[in-house]
Amino acid sequence: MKALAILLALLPLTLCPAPLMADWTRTGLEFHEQTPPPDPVVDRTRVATQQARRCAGSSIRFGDTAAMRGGVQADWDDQTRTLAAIAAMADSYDTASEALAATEEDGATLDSLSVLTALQFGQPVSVPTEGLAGPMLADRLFWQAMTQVPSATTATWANDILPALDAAFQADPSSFQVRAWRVIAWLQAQGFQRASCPARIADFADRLLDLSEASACPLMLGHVTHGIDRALESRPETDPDATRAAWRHFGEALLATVAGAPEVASWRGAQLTRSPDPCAPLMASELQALLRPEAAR
Amino acid sequence: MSETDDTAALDLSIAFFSAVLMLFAFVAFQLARTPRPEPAVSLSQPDIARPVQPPTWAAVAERGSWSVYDGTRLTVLDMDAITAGMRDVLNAYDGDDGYQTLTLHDGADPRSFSLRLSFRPDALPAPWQGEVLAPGPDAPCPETPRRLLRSYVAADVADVTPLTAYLARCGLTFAPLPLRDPGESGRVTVQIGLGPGSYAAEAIFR
Repeated sequence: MKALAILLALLPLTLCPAPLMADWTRTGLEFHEQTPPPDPVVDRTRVATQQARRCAGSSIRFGDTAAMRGGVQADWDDQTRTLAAIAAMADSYDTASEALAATEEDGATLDSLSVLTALQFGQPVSVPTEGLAGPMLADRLFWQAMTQVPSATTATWANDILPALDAAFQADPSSFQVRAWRVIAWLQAQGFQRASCPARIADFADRLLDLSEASACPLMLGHVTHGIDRALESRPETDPDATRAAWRHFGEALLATVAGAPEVASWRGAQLTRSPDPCAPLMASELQALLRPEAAR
Repeated sequence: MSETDDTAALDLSIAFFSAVLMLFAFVAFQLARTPRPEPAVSLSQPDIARPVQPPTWAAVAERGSWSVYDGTRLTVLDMDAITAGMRDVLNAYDGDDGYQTLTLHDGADPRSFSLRLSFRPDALPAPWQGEVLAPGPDAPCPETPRRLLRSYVAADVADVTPLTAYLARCGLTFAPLPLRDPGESGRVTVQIGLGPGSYAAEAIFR
């Protein structure tokens, strides 16, 4: 009796086992199991949108300050503007800072200019963020992060710089410099050591697609990858960290896919197959799916 | 066939043949090609307008000094003299050998400006001359505290290797800016500015 009850209880399992998840197709008298493709990790819609838009302009701006990006309006008198021009032309910090101090204007835009001038001259400076919002806050958070870069360790990148850049991105999504450094900071902070493979790939791909959203032109993305190489001081092939190299290969392949250079993307994707990184197979399959959308269906 | 028809046919044939003749004339003119002018020898594209803080691959642009190279002498510009002229027009140098004008541009950005400097590359106005150096293997290094030296190079300078070797020895980064040929006045005008156009897309970290 007990055996019968167990059998009855197991009956549904034997009749319709795990393949409930799969699709079945019939060819003649044979049934074939088709496992559904895994959930897309990289956002296909964003890739397709950027591929279609390519070199068309976007709302993302390249200026070094909120004012240059058109994010804030400052109505300065000619005296202040002349002094700001002097500060821009000067080749000594004393001349530049004296010119900015001599202005009668007051405000966050001028404070930002003083901070930026000090940073350009390599002077130590504190970057206050109190009471600011939007593009002004994004600039300050970006500069705060940049002052920490020269002496940053992996922990600094992960705990201070990356969160500051993410907050700056929230404050002003139109700033290109923030988008570019969010990718670099993620690589420096070893974001590829955290969470599961699909989550890591989705996070990195989102950051890359945020960057290529400005312009998915091949020339532009060439500059972007070169800029990343300069910041990391190596090409992906010569990166001393093999895991980071794999992620950079994936990054370049994704950008090449968006820019409409599938041969570059396949070449970069092929280099992933030799990588020891546990996420490399998933990265390669994602790239395959992006390059041949009809085959993945 | 009437007589009027005959004349009409004659007119038509004369018109046709003259049209063909005209066509030949045009074809003949088209064949006589004017030779292409030889491109002038130069280091690169002449410098027209220069952003005051040009793109480097750094997140924050680096400040540099400005200089002029005429083939033998490297003159580091005295920016304090030039900025004094920007602050007050009465202090600005104005002479046959050079002058400066500052224009503040209207627009969204309050920082937009352009500064035009007009000078003879081989005889700069005395107030603008900071250090004057003769680049060479044993020459002393410039005393400018800046690492980046943007150098306007006169149009008739064919070889900048002595200058690059000298600046490399001194640990300076060389950014050459070729000048155009001087006009009838012997002067050449450069424009240094800042505006939204200074941030082209390829200045990637801006």
